[in-house]
Amino acid sequence: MKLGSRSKEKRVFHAPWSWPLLKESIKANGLSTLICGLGNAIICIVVVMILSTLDLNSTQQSLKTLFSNADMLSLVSQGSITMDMSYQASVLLYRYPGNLLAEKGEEIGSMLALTFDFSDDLESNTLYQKTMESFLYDPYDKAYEESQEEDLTLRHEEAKASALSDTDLLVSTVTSLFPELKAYGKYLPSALESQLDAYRMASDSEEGFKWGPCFRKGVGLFLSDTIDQAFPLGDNTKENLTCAYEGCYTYYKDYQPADFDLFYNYLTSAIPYLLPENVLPSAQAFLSSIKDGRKENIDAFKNNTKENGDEIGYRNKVLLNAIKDCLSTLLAESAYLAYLPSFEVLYLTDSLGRPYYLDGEGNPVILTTYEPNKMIPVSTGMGKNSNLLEKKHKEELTGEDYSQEEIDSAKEDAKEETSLFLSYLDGFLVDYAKALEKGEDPYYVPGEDSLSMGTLQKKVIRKNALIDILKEAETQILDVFQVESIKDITMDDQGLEGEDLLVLVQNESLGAMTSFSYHLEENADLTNLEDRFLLSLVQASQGILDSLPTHVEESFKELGTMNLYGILVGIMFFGLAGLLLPIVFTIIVANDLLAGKVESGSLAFVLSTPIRRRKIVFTQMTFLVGCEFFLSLLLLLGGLASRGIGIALGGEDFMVSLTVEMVTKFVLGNFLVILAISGICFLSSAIFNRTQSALAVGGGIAIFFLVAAILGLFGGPAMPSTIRIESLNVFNYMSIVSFYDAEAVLSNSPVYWYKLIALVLIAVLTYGLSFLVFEKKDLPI
Amino acid sequence: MNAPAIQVFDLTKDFGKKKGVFDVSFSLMENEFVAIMGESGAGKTTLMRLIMDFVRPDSGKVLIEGKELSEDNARLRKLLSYVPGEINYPDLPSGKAFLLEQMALLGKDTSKKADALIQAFQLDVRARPRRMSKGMKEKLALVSALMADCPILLMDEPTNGLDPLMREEFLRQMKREKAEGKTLLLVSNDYEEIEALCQWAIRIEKGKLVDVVDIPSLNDPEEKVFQAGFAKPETIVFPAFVSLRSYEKEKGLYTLAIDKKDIAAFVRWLSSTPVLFLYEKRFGLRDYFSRKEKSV
Repeated sequence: MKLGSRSKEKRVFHAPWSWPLLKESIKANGLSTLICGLGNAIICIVVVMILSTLDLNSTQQSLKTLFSNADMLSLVSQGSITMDMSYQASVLLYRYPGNLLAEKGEEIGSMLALTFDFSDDLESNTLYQKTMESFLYDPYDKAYEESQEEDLTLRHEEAKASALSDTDLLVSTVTSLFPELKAYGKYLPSALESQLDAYRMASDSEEGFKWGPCFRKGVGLFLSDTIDQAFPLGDNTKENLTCAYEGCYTYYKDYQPADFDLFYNYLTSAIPYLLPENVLPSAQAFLSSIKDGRKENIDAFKNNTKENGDEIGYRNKVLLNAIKDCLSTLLAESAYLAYLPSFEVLYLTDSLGRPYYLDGEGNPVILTTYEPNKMIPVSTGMGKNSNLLEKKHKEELTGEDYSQEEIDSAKEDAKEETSLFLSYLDGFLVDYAKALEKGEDPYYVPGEDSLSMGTLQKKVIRKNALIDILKEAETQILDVFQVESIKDITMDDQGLEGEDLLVLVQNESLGAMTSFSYHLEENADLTNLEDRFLLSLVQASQGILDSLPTHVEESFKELGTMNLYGILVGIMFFGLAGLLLPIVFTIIVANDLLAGKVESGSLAFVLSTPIRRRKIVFTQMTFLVGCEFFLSLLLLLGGLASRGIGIALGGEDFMVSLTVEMVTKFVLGNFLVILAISGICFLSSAIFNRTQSALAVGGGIAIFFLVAAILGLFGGPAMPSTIRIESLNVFNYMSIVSFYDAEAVLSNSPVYWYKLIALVLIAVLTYGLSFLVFEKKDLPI
Repeated sequence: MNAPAIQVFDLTKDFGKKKGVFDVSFSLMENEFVAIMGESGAGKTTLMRLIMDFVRPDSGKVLIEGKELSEDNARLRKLLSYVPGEINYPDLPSGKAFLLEQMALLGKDTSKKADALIQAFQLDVRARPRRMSKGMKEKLALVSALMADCPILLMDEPTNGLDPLMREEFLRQMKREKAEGKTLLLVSNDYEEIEALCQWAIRIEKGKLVDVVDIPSLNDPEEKVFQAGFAKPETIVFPAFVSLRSYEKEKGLYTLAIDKKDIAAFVRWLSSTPVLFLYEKRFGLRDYFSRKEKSV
């Protein structure tokens, strides 16, 4: 029974191939398959072994180190310079709020000076006038001229809105610095607005703009508006009030009290005549509350009274906050440039990052708009990454400015960064304030009367600042490496022990700070303080990489980030060298399996038995595919073995660079390329009766693909861009070897799989066609 | 009644340059032995390949036992055994290996018959088939084809390289096959072989069937031809029923034609003459074709 059922089973299964024929093919080609497979696997092992001793990763590591060190040093340098500068500026501000900066106009001072001078005689203060002009009138004039609005009133409103949109800084600084202005700080925007109204009127009047009258008119307008809002006056009364202020101002001109006192006095005596009786008491109460509030604040400020167990007095606290506010705003305003994405600068720029052209006499002419025809291009392909100053002029350089989104996000980043080191500044300033309250000033040279930068003991400040700067640098390093302690950084991470790295960074910081001071002096002729600051910053923090053309830098970076082992093994071996032997084997065997048998006529014996042609093709196909599979199996074993050896020789890096998954994917890709090529050779073998023709066509195509892949390699992304010949990339589109995408394996992209589908399709198509062709053709046997 | 073993209808295969097979039709009944004759390049081998379905016809068809080969491939293939005209073996280590391989392909164990054939043809099966001499190769091919025991045999000049002894063995084997009821389509230009085995023959010229020869009728003609020599030739006077075809004076050779019915009288007449030798000149295919050539 058992025997019977077994034989029945046997009969049920009809293998689509012929065992005897398969056996014959195995007998005829088995040995060569084995030799080819072993040979390929051994080559694989040798290649990987040689590679593993090359220590590619240390080359790569040092490049990587070079770049990340350069990036880090540049970052730390910029941070250190900014911190150092902020420390000095804050001491200056603390020591001489107002006058020092106003007189010298140095550093970041002019805007701060405005706020310090607000309570003094505004009309005669030229710095104040200058500031008003540059922050208020100039932007207003510009907006007014550029406006398309035809209605002049509307145009004025539009320009006013535009000019006032940037005054937030002005207002916040003013209100934070001046306690007496705090009470009515919320009126300041409208005060400035009134100034602009007055400016318009003055500009349109017959006499034209004059500082004094215009300013007074502005203040008058503001006050009357303000009072009008609180107590409706009616147009006539309002007019009267403005005129009254002007008259009053003229009358009291020779007196010394500040504007506000003057005006309060006038108003207090004038409002009973101006206002209706029912609002009079509340108007008087309002005025006196302003006055009282102001007095109270001024007293507290002057006496520097301590409240609620504060560490430092009121004035110091206010100043400290004001300085911090001011610095953080200022820094965020200029430092955000560093956080903007850089772009490739393709034209020559001057030291301030502006494009220019040379006029007839060879003098540079600065361009203020994007004019690529006039601009001087850098030599082909040698564009470099934009520096801070060039970022500022992106629109002129590229024709397209940063988007608001980019700017906002960069400002956000800058704020985050500056707030970090402002916390250091906080402690520093509190200490300083305490020293001042004790009557000491460690940073001031007592004998010096002159109010200049020279009166600061920069070295002493720097010494204190340096402690914080270095602390901050250490924090940044820890942040970059994502480690807890500086000791956790080893040679493997950065080519330097953590301690050594810290010393390197610290030295770089010191150097950058000194260099910055030097450049600041050097650039003293620059009137625009921001430009002067940025230029000095760029000059002081420029690393070796910044001076390289973009493409050189890119190629270095590329080299540093490439998985060299992966590329060499995946592309050079599995994509080329590892294909050669199997392809040659395939060409010969595929040719022999059909065309060879037809040409010799030995197929006649097979066909004179009940074996059909279809079965012959299927058997031979099974054999060929089996051979390729066997070769790949050996290759996989070889690959895995060589990986093991590689790890033993090349260490852990090797393990990471060449994972088991990668090796498997490489072998799979290699297998499918050969499978597709075997399909092509098999089809050629099925088409031709003469081995000569079958070899010429099938083998020719296969070898062409291989050669094209070799040529394509030099133009492909696997070649570092420095030695890549782009034009050879065209060969990659001519070879089916390209469907094996080793790059995609390294980047873990699904493209790898999609491309493999193409190879499978080629194999299915060619083998399928082989059936049709061989079934239909005449056999000369 | 069984369908004819092989039927060929209007078979045409044009290779161009007037090469190929054109409008050939014939059929072989079961147990018939038939020869295909013709000069080299006439299309004999192509005709065989067409019948074996190695080459596909442009038009016309081949029926094996009434069916086209492609219709019922597996069963019909089992009926056919083939000895190729140009013998090439796969690269196998020995003749025995080749035969075993063929058995495997046939799907049946025919070693008994194979052994008998090997003995009959005195084949050394230890030799490597590719290294064998022409005769050895042919013997191996014959063993391979005959051991399959297929009812229809197609042989393309199977005895070209055989020595005379083996030719005789071949004839013996084929006669045995004939007795077993096999059918044979033989490509050959060996008249003796054909006359010994075949009932009839077709002749192909430039791909066209030009002649069909019935061999038994050749062997029994109405007029018998004798060659004789006489002691005193000048004294011989031939009776009326003897017609003198030729006289070769140097050899003293007379060629005489006598009507079948006058044989007895001829023998009687001979007894009265000083006859030195006498033999019948049999009429074979050779005479048939040479006569035909003359008449053209």
